Amino acid sequence: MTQLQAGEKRKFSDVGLSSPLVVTVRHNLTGLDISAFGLSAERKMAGDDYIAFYNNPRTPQGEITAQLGADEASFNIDLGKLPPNIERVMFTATHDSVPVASAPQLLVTLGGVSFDAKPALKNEKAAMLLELYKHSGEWRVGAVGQGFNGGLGDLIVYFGGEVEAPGTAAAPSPAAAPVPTAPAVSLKKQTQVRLDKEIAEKAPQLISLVKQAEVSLKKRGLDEHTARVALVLDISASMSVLYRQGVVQRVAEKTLALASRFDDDGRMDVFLFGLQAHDAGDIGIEGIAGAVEKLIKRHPLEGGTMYARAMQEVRKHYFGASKPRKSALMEKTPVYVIFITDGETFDKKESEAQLKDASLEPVFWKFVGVGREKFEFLQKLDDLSGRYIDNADFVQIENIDTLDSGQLYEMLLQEYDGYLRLARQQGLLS
Amino acid sequence: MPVSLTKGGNVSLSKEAPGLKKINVGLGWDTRRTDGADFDLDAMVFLVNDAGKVRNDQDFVFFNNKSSSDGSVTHQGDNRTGAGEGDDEVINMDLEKVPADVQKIVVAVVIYEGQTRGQNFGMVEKAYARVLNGDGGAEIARYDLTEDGGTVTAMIFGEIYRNGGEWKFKAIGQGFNDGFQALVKSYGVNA
Repeated sequence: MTQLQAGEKRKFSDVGLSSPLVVTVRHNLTGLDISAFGLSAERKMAGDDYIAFYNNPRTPQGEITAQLGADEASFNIDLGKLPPNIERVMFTATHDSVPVASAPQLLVTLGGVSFDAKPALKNEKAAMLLELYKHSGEWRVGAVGQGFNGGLGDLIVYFGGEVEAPGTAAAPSPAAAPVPTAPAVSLKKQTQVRLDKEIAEKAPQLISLVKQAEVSLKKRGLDEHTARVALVLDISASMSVLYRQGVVQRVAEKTLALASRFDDDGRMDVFLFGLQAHDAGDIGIEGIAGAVEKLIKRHPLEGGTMYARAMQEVRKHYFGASKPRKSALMEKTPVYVIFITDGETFDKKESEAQLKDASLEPVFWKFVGVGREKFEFLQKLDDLSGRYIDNADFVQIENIDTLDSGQLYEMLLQEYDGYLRLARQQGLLS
Repeated sequence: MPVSLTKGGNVSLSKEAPGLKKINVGLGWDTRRTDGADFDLDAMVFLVNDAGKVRNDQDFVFFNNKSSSDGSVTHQGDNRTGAGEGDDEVINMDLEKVPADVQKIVVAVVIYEGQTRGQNFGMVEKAYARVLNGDGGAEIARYDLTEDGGTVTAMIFGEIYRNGGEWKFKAIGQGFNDGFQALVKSYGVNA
């Protein structure tokens, strides 16, 4: 057995390796994601397809296939089949909340070669363990054992992926979102009559939810209120159970029931985010059945959690740009965002900057942390200083599926009425 | 066209650049992009005689002794301007001033506190040594030693040596497992 040290590089022929081969990573740490990135000679990503991970265990031609268990990951690799632009395969370990080195071991084994990356690592939440790479026409193995304390986002940037910094977003376009010009009340009444009919016909399962939403809105004096409702959903890989079990679909239904009472057109705009953010269109009563499944087909789960990107996408959608804002923006209709996540973000600084800039816009962010995570960062966002007005609230819901709908609506609306008053006083709402 | 060398290869500088009087040896590597202590690399130069030893401790040129006893070799330290743009460290050599009893000039690099920080040359990306003409700055030879790094904290990058009446450059890429101390002792420096 050849035991490599961090920094050690060996030719395949020197250590008895040949392709195809199997690489296993034994770690025994719950929640640790092991991935294989196909990279260029310069360690740049060669496209999403060539990352073998939780949500995409097989590269297009089966060059790399992953078997991912709770304690161990193993990869079957046929290096000869890889496209010529992929000259490196890097095995990485990432964790959402704890350093990778808190694993009992990080033992990579291939043929008669092994490398335990644990001693080389300290506080990295994303680590490069080992790579296979081509040099002078021959494949070699390199023990790496380096990484990034900030986690997956930093690793992606290192691999040449895009993590937008605040203020570098695409050129701003003027705010294009149509604001209803008809008197809000009459429009609202017309809309609701139409919606009630639609719900009765197409989504009768929502009727009782709608009633509960109405009660909660009334309690806060929001029964005549009109907003634009946005549902932002985490599609990071860790959410997969919630998607599979239909929990996210039921959350979407509950949110739509609420939206049918106070959204300007009774539809909710949906945004998805993992590593990237997607403006996924809107969902109305007619399309709610099976809506989440369709969304996930179009946008498969991703390995990462980037709040700031999602926030940028929301700001772009409603206010035309996600750039830093210097002065208050006044509009007639506020945006009410329900932001659902099960983990901490990788882009904390950018998220804080986004929330600060968004505090000059008429948008309220309801951050909902689902599950048992600590969500320290969401709590921080809730209390973030340096904002024009307090524009966010954070609630943690351990089991969003079993929570009574009335209680859920209470939690979702909490602080929103206060926000509206403040936004009007401070010139964000006319 | 500069000559690209692999480990063990050599080139006649005098032939590549007729009339060569002065050279600059540029050393470079990528700064660390992952988290953790920065790689702090220091260039060291030994002017050695036929027996492969320094004539005196002054002929060990490094950050605390920036010039050899005769002034023929000077360590420029961190290079930010002028010749050797892009190099992390540059050593100037006036070949005409090199005393006749100096047979070769060894250029080594040591990772400062490499052992305590758990760092080695295998972790350093894109390390190279290149020889530039001191007159005009044209690159004469280059040795990319990324693949020859290994798990050592001290390495001889290359040697400038006499061969009859000409000067040659050899790509060495040899590591010292025991680091700085072993390297320095091997050339007879009283460290």
